[in-house]
Amino acid sequence: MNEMTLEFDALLENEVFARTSGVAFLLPYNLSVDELMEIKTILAEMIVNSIVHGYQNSQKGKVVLRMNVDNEYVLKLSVSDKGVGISDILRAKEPLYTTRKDLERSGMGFTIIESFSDDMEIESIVDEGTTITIHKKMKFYG
Amino acid sequence: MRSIVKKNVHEFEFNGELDNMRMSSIKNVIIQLINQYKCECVKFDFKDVTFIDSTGIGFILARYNQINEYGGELILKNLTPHVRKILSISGVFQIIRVETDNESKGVKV
Repeated sequence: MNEMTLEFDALLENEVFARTSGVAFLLPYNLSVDELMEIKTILAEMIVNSIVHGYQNSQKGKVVLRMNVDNEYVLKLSVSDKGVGISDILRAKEPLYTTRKDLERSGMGFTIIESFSDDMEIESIVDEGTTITIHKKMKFYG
Repeated sequence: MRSIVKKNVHEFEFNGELDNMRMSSIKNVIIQLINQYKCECVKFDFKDVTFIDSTGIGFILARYNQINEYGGELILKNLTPHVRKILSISGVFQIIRVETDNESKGVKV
């Protein structure tokens, strides 16, 4: 088992830092370019969700990224915030549904996360925060 | 990002990682340039794009609407495998045309 936790301020510029760090954590596993790109995209979607929706772009609050890889090379990745939460999770998951058309959001975030991972779990309490967790079996090329 | 206007074709060449931060820094310039020229055909070239996410999808769909409003057409070209995958999941190809290889080689169809 190999594990890491990263806590950072909910600033837009930290999305690049966290996304890249998450990918760097997985570099020793010799993943294919395709797998790395998928994980990179999952990271971007989750972190942007926390900053833009969770904290409503207020630039206040912390985002926590946790990643671990077990002995079967299953990656568990979660992103947590203490933001506004999601009042209707089923609605939020619908492709093209977004609460922020004004920001030109596409409403495709959850769809992309879901299609690149083996499973996705959303835990959210309004006014308390949101944690998104995914699992993804990695192909190990050792 | 480069913007070239030639014979009523307005081409934008994107490069690098089109993430949230990058899109917010170039979005307004692109909106303005499109409105300034209002070309019949606007092309987005993704040849040198290494990363895109749902932020980029939102941007493309919004520009599609902007260009449609004045009667122009948005065409996408040179999609890298990652860009193609993300756009395909998002159903973008159902509404926006991708330039074919023949078209980009200058062959008339």
